[in-house]
Amino acid sequence: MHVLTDRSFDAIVVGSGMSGGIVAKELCERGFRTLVLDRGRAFEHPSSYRTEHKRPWELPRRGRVPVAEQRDEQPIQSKVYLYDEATKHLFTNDRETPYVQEKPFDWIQANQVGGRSLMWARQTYRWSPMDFLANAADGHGVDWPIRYEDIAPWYDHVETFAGISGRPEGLPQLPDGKFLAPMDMNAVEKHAKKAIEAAFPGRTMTIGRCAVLSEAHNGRAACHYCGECERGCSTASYYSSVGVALPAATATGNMTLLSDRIVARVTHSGTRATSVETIHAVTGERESFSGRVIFMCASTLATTRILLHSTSTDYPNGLGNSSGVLGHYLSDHHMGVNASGYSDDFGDRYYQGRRPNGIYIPRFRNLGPASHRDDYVRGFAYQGAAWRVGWMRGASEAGLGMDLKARLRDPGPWEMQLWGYGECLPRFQNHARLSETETDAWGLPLLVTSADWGDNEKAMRKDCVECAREMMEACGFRDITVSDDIDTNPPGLSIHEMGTARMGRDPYTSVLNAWNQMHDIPNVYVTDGSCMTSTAVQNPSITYMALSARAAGHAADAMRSGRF
Amino acid sequence: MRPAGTRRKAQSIVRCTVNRMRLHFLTAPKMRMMDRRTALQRLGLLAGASISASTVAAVLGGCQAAPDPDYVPITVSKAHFQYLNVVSDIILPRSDTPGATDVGVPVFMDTLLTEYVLQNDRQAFMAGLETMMATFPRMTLVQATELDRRAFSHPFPDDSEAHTWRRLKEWTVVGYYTSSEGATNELKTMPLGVFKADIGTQTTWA
Repeated sequence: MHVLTDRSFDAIVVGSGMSGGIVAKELCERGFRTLVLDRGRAFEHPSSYRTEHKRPWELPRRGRVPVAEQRDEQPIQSKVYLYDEATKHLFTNDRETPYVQEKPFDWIQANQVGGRSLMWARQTYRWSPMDFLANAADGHGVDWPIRYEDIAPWYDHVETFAGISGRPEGLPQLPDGKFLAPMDMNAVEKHAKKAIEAAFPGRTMTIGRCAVLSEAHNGRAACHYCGECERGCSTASYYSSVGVALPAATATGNMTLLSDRIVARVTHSGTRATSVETIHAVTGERESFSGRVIFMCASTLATTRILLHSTSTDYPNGLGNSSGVLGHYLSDHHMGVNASGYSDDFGDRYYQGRRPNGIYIPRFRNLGPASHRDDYVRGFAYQGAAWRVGWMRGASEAGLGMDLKARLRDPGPWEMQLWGYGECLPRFQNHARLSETETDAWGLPLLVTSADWGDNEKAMRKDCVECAREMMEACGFRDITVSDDIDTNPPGLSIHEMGTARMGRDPYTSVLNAWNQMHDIPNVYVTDGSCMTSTAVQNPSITYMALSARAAGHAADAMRSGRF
Repeated sequence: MRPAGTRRKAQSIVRCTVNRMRLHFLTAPKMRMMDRRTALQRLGLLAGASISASTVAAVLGGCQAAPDPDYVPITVSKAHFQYLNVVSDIILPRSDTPGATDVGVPVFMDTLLTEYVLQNDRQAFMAGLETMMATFPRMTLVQATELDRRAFSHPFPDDSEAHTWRRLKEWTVVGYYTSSEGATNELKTMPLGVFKADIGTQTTWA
């Protein structure tokens, strides 16, 4: 057990995941003594990756989690696409981290230091100038206090650190970044790219941009294509906080990392936050730590819950919540528009290695007059991939005996899928608040989530379905199916929840300023998804990382100049 | 990548290995960073390494023990277990490679019935199995082929016999191809270390 002789730090970072890892690294490298708190259990690179590279037969149930265990322990977490016998321990036990779903909301929570950065999908897409102007342009939400030019150098910075593979395309709606070599498309993906781009001018299909090393980078080895990133990676070939950022912070000697610390409150004196109060998740011990600056990086809903619970005479509705918008504008990308089709061509083509990445069709609607839609604002994009159906098809088709064995020795037909993701408008009524009656095992009020999809999202999905269908048809696939599974994809399940402590220019309508500082309490920075003023359609993690690095640089300057 | 709804639908029949498709310095002296070569050597999987698939499997996971001939089933009766032996071997018989019972498929099914499914699903499976045993007390390949065709005709018939057959077949296929022997003898072990996006076709990857 780490014995703390000092409970006073330059900086306290609440949360060690996608945002907190970057903040910790940036501050530690600048020489600031930084305390990182996480409610999850201790988790270390690489010794904690206990299911990495396990073969199917080394898992007692060959990957399956007993249905009763899913139902009783992880009814929400088990909805995640990568939940299985090898990953279930990385997710929270839903019984231990309850919340109230006033409307259906799937809150996916990690169970360890490094948070969800361990299991993320690693897709990394910059926001464009258009995305930072979107609210101002159509009047939904408040204007972003920053523009693309403000964040661009910080994208450069975190991309260079993390290592992003991708292909430059020169698209205004999806700026290029500092890319390592792109991964390659397989035969059917190449075919689809050609077919789609020929049939639909203005649409582009590119290889996914992802935080996986296609070549050695900063001393980290290139990907070995085992295809099971979420179990952890001994070679740190994909970016995770636990594998990359936290080790960098540790190396400076300036970081103190404490696991199992549930942050209950942040206290303040006047316009200055002073300390963070924690409860030990195992022992229940209560502790208090003080810092010159405090970074909230606990994830959108966890940060919101802590801030709402940090009440005082000055801030009876939550720390830094003089605007009253803290907890509101809860958003997520809407997903569940899925298309599938098969090809009997390319039967002589295959691939080797499990590429941890797919293809991407960037947004192509409402980019200008030529792509303007009257029925909705903003737009959607698709991720996807093609592959040859493997031996698993034998389980769901007729066929027996020697014939079946012989048949399954050859790979099956090609299948291609597209998965739509759409932008979600910020709406006040979509919110999270504290329960007035229910508390958790530590006596902390439960969070109540109340959010649903709006008319704009629903209208957009209709177009997203039709565009997916026409693209699959243009590829000449057979047995095309396109579904709109909105009911099984409530907010939360995209795991891109954001918006509850938004940035803005006006302290009366936003919580944070252009540097992710609270308008009310400038030495509190919030750099996780809660800071987001709009959602755009791109996977958001790289933007959280860039904003985190930018804010950390700002806080460092402020500490050096004696402002904090 | 988030295959979401479509994937889940696919997985309602076969969950688990489909996940593969799911798209699937440090400065620190203290860090125990394993380099790629070490990791791959440990795996015995450097691309192009000329070792046989079964050797790789043996090195990696240790050979999976052959099924215990005296295995006492936990959830199914001895008679049921014997029947599952017969039927799973009809589905995936021994050839120049092991058959379903050789790699312990009936044990795997007993495990899933014991630990994986809910009680009502277990009861439904057992009811269908009883019907099947009454109808085909000595299941032949011809009878099994007929039942298999019927069970996988579209839309899937909903009677308990067809339902149990689909599960039984799913578990046989999954149990077989995720076993050490099934995966390494019938399929090709994926060499790690390099991604080749477009190559000529060959044996299905494990």
